[in-house]
Amino acid sequence: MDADRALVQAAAAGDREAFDELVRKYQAPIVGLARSLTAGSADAEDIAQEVFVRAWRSLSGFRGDSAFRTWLHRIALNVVHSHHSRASRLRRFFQAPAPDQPPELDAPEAAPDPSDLEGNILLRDAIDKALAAIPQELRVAVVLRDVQGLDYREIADLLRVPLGTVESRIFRGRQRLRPLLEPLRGGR
Amino acid sequence: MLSCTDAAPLIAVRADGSLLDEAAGARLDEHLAGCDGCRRALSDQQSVAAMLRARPLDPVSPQFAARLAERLDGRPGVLDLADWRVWTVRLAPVAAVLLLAASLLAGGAPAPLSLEEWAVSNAGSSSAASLLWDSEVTTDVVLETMVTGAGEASGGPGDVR
Repeated sequence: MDADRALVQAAAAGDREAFDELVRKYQAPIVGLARSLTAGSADAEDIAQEVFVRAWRSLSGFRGDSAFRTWLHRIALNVVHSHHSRASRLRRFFQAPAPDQPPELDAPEAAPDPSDLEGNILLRDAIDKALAAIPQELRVAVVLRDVQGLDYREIADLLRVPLGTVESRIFRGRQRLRPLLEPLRGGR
Repeated sequence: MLSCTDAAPLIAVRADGSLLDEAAGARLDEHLAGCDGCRRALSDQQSVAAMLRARPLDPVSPQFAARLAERLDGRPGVLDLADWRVWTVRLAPVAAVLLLAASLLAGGAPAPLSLEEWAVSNAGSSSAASLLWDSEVTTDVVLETMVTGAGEASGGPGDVR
C-alpha cells in the first residue's frame, strides 16, 4: 500500500496543497539524491526543482503501478541523466576533456564529528566525492539502497533490471567504495 | 555448496540488514562458516553500508518551495528574472540573428551563403566564423571576437591563447 496514495490522488486532481505536502516530504531526499549522483554539485536544487515540475505535469498520468516514491525517483534519475548529458556536451563544446583520473579525495585528516554542522558538511562532501569516483551504474544502485533507503525490489523496478543485477551492483559498488571511505572510519 | 561468486549478492543483502529467504540464508551461513574471504567481505559491506546510511541529510534552501511554486504557477519569480541563464537561453536566437545580420552587413556578401561557405570565403580574416574552423583557436577567442569584433585580429596564430 502506497503511504502517499491519498495525497497523490488529490494532487493528480489538481490540489496544489496536496502536492506541496508531497514536495515537503520528498524535497530533502531528492536534493540528496541529486547531490550524491552529481559529486555534490551546486546544481542539485535546480535538478530537484525540475524533478518536481515534471512530476506535477505528469501526475495525471501516474497510474500507481509503483509507489509514488519509486516513480519520483525514476523522474529524478532521468533529470540527473539529462544533466550529465548536457554537462558532457558543454565540456566537449568548450574542449575541456573529462578528467582521466577520478576526483581527488581530500578526505579530512580526522573523521568529521557528525554532531557539528561543519563536520556534517565535510562528511557529506567526502562521501559524495567517493561516490563520484566509482562507475555510474554502481553509484546509482548503491545510492538508491544505502543513501535513499529504497528496497532491492523497488530499485530493480526503477532501473528495470533483474533483482540479482541490483544485488551484484550494490556488492561491487560497496567494494569499490571501501578503500575510498577508509579515511572516514577513524571516529567510528 | 555456494561459490564465492554466488555468495556475493547474498552478502550484499545481508550486510544492510535486508532479509534473505530461509533457504538462501542457510546456504550463505554454510558458505561463510568455511570462507574467511567472504566473512571479511561481509564485514566490509556492513561497514560501507553503515557509513552511507550515516550520510548527513542535505539542507534545502528556505526559498526552495517558493521558487517551485512560482514555476508551477507559471509566474517568473524574482530569482528566475535574476538568473542570467534564463535570459541567455531566451535571447540566444535574437543574438544569433543580430550577429548574422551584422556580419553580412560588414562583409557585404552579395548572395546568401551557407555558414561554412561564408567562413571559407572569410578565411584569413578575423571574423568569428572563420575562427570557428581554426582548431588552434580557443573558444575564449571565438567568443571574444564575436563580442568585440576584434579578438586576436592583430596577432598571428602564435598569439592565440
